[in-house]
Amino acid sequence: MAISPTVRTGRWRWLSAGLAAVLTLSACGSGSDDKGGDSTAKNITFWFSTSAQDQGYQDLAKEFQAKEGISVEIVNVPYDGYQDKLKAAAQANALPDTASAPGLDTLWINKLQDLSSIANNATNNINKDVTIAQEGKVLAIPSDVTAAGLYLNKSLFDKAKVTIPTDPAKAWTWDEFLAAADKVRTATKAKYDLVYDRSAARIRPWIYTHGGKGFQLGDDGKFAAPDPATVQALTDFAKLNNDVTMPKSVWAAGADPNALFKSGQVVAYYSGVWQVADFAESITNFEWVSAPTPAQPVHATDINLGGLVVAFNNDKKADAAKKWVDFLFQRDNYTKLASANGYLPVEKGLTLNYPFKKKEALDAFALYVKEMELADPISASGAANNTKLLLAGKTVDDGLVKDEMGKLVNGQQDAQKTVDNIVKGLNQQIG
Amino acid sequence: MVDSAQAAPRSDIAGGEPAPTKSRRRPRSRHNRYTATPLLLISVNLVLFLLFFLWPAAIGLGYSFTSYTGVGDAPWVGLDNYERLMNDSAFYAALLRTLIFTASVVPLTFVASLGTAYLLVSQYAKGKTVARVIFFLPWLISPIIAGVIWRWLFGENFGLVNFIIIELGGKPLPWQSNANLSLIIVIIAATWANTAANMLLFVAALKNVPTSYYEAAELDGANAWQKFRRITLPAIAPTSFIVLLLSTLGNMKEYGLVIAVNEGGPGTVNNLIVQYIFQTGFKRTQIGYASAASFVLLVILVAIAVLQLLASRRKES
Repeated sequence: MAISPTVRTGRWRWLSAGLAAVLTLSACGSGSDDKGGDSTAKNITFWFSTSAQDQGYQDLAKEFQAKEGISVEIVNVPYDGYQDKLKAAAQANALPDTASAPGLDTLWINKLQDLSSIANNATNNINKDVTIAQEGKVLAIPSDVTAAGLYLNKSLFDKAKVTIPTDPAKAWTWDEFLAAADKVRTATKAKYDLVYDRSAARIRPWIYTHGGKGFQLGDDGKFAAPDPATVQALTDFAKLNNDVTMPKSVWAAGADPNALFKSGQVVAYYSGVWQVADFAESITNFEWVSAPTPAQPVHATDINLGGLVVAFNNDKKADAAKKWVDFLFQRDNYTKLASANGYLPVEKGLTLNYPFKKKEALDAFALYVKEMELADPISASGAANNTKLLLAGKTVDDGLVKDEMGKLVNGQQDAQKTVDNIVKGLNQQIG
Repeated sequence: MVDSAQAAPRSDIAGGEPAPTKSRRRPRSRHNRYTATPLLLISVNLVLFLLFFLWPAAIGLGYSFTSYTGVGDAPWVGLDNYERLMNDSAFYAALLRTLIFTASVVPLTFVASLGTAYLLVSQYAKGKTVARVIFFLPWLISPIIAGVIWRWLFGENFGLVNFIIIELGGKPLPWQSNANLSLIIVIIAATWANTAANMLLFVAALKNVPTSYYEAAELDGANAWQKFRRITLPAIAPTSFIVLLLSTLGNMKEYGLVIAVNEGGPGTVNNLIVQYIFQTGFKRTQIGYASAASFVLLVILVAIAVLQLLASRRKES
């Protein structure tokens, strides 16, 4: 049954031909990288990922070329597998010159340029709480941020003649809000006061607005036991799941809060800012509005990071790459970018004109921008903790918060046991 | 058909004695011819089996003796994981819930699929083709979709069933936030989803029962129940065994459907064993510990399969 010599050589010939073809192709690929020339590169690459707007980047790339004479090749990478693609690129020494990455990676973190001159530029006025810094170097600046947000069924409020605060500085307390929602529910015969997304990110603002510090990393790099205010806040939260204020099914059994709110039978929904686009499209049977997150008494939300803009240290192209990132975050340019792409900005005090047609959506964005400027710095600590762990080479999945909270809401354990289990579970992952 | 099917294993056992002595006397060359070719023919399958089943299983067994977290080193901890597992109330709770689930679904599936199959082969039934398509539909739906359908039906807040109950003047039931009610929903959904395929097996088996048996029984004055009990059930015994075995193993490993119906809720009360393993392994990154739990599950499944095999052997002989 041995393979005859002719067959064997035939196979090898094919193999070597294939290998040659691959080498030729890859030579073409790397060849285009070197075209840039000596010290002044004429073209750079920028990887990012979106399923929606990329017009903002395209426009800025044209302006950048007109100003600096450097063309930017913008590559929209599918989000699934983007992180892996960057990993592979780092191993193959073929990283892009700049990117807006879904997350940093220990594989290529040492190839990043220091962006502190851009991040600390006073005119840019970038929110320092969200930039990623290590040992005085700024490694990445988020292209945008996301936040938690409260949505109300405006039709029900109008019907019950209950007014809604519009200024985040004069937000309800949670008690005032729940009293108002109770009033609306009874007046309109709606079913529930509130539905609340079941996630670790969403429970943070509940804790923060109630004066708790939540789950924070200690000096030893592990999660510390939370303060009593956190335990109290979670106890109160569980009590709201009484099938009147909130349906128990969401936090206990995974019912979909989005669908419940869209039924028109729920007074309010606490979720994230990305719902705006969906609601603007799909809610037609009632009017909705964004309201400031209640403060009891702390003004807070949960700020998370969009794409992380980084510049790689690719020898000859390093300068051009940094120039492009600098250009992106210059105040006027960033205003255009955030407006066109529908971003919540990382720079403070901008006037943005979003491309939404619906007034609710525009109002919602204006409100969230104001709310984030008012929010307590603790609002960004969730994302900051993740970054800290990542820079230390650890990844932690906080999905267990959802399970432990489910047990609390279901009456299987009390709030103290819940926070103990969460801290224990998170620290086990840190190892 | 049935006779031959039942007779075959018997003759094997009866004629099994002289066979080894014969082959012992056979020359070596014959042994070679019958080893190399079959080996070659199954080699692709064998390689796939070794590469994608046995090798990962071996790695998993190895991990179960370590405190591996998914990245970095896998420090050896000996039997520590197994010891912890024996004292883990969450593991026992999940295992108990899985056993209750399986013990409910398997008999229900058996009765439902045999019942529908019996109706479909009955000479008195009308519209059999349409009925068969309708009964088979659930099998074409993925467990996730099936779960979503049942969640809509039995949604606690805006589900169809509660809507009907309210319209009829009743009080809505907590289908999702009551532990036992929500398990019942999953049991019903699983039975509904599993009936179709087993029904097909039973239809084939029922059609193969010789009509002459029934005619003879009728002449002797047997009633419908006696015919079912004394002729049909014994004749389809091999199929029944397969249905029971596959349903038991399948339901012990149920995951997708539970996730879609209520995520193992309320809380973690209805977490089944595979969900528990997934949560510990991937959500809490305790790969070593989860591997140990997987091996305990494997041992339980093998034990169930062996017990059922032994039971069916004894019955046959």
